[in-house]
Amino acid sequence: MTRARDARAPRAWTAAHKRAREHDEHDDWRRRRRHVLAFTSAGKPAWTRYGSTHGVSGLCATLQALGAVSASAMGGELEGAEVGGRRLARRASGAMTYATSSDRGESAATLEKHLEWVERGVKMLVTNAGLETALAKNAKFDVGRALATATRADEVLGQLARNLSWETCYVFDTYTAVRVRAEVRETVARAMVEAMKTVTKPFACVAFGDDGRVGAYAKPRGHRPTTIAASDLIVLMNFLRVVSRCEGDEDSFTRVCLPEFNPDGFMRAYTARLRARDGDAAGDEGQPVKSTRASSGSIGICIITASADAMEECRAARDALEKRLNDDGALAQMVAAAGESMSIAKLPSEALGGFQDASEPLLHFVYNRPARHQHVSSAFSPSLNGADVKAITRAYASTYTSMKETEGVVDASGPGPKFIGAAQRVRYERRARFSVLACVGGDFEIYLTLKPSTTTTTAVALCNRLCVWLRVHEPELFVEE
Amino acid sequence: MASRRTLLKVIILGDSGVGKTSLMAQYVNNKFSKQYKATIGADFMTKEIVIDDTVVTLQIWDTAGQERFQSLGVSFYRGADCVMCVYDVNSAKSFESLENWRNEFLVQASPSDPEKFPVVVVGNKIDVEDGKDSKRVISEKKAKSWCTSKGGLMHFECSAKEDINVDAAFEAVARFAVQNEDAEEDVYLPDTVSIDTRGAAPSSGCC
Repeated sequence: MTRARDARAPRAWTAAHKRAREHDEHDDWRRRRRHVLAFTSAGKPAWTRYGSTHGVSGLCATLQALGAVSASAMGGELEGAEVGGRRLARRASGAMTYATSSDRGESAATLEKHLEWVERGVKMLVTNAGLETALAKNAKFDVGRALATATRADEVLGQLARNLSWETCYVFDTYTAVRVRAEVRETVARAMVEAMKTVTKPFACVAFGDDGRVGAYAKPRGHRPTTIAASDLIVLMNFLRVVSRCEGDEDSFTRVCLPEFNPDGFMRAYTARLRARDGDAAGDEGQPVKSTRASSGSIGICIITASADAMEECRAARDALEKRLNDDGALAQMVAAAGESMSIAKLPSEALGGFQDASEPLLHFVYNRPARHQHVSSAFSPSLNGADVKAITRAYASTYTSMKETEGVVDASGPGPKFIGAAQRVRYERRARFSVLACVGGDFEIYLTLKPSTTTTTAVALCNRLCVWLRVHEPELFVEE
Repeated sequence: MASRRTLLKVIILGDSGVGKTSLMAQYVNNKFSKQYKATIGADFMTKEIVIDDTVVTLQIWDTAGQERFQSLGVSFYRGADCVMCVYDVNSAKSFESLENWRNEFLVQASPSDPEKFPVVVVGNKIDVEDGKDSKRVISEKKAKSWCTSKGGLMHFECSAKEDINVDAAFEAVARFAVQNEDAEEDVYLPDTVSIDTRGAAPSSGCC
């Protein structure tokens, strides 16, 4: 199975995208629409999205000095500024400072949230203890050099910075799962628990698709916490996608920190592919699928352990897991499911209640379940291009923030917030190229992107019908935690 | 061919008007302006040079000499790799202030070994000819003697205006800092493996 690259999906971030020759006085560098920087409290650069770290050292020094002047003159750290249509956000955290600038119109809150994600990404690679201890002992410490020793740090952070513009995980703080029958997911999770029994100090096992959706995950029985924090899983998925893409068919065993679980400690992540047998997927010989693409006929698997010497055990566990899942046919089903996104056009008619006719008002939706730490994000309508997707992601971010800020009863008409029930808040926003309907209930949130011509009545009716269908189908949409 | 890269934070200190900004501008841009404009807070420039087998990026922090900006010292001095203390050879007061600038830096930056921390002393404005309004008051001998008394600080006499000895002073700063960097023990990231710190359950029932 091969798929053409979708213009509505974020491209893989590679070293070429970094334009390492650029520096902060370079015209091309200045024209880049979104920059992300990490630097120490000494003003020394640790990482930059574009250009070389040394090439942005003047800017890092300036930003650090601005923070110091602000703290001295006004008693507080500079958190943001707006200059010439470009917004700057700055986040001081311990001995590190993170900064981003954008001319895409994100709110200050959105950019600050982006910086929190970048900080998690940096900690995942070098640990908080690594940063704080090293810089406390030696303020001259070169964090950039430390990052260079981490596994594919540039690609991991570059991909994270890119995905912030595209992916709903970073908006809703919840991860996404592969849509698959609950029994299949349960079978895979059970097999994972069994496989981990042969691994020293296992922490968790995750199966994942190439787009970063979680197929299944399992923790050893009796372990606390019983789940992985959503924020850890989101940054882990970003890390695993990069490692899996770069390693291809090769397995790897790398240091990784889960900042929410323990920001001060490294664990080891064994990453490999699980290949479905041809016979299960296509009714052939019963041999593992041979493919020119690592992802074809396979899914990613990651075993996390606290033992630095467990690579061979993880390798054996992976082999056993692949055999077991191929024997009972679950792997082929999981692989097939991981290759499918939730296309609105393929949803059953009852999900849309007859509203999705030739006019196709629904372009995209997100169904968020904070209590489950997961959300469903449909495939974007083929009528949308990459710029539309990024605009919709920004719209979700601003709407999500404003919905969180909205308290009590809200007004009932027009483009503003609309109250339709005791436990719900609804907002319908008309924008130039699309409209967004947001509905926040007691234990769920749903966000619909619709054609701008869609009436409020149609949008709300469609939303209600879709909500009911999604609620009924949750077992196949979400990982059971 | 250079085999490694490093970034050095260079702090330029000294009284207001001694020519700190001019030295930096001459070194980085080969430019000199006769017009005096006081630095507000700090100014920054970078320059890449090669020292032996190392590509060195100098991140130069040109600080304000005026009293009102000196509260910013701690945050500006943090993580400095070397410091250039500048005085005006025609101003006794600026030379006398060197002691304070150096001490203040060592107190606020708290380097691990203050005695060995790279400090270079630069006497600027040697181009100014003796006249009615100006007269050289700090001889090279006097300055070198003071540097010797402080543990053998490196000393240069320069002219930012005439581009005399400016490159040599900055390159000496860089070389000094690179040597100091080599001598300093690097701090390596911990390779901590931790899984039980958040209360892993008792082993019963666990694999």
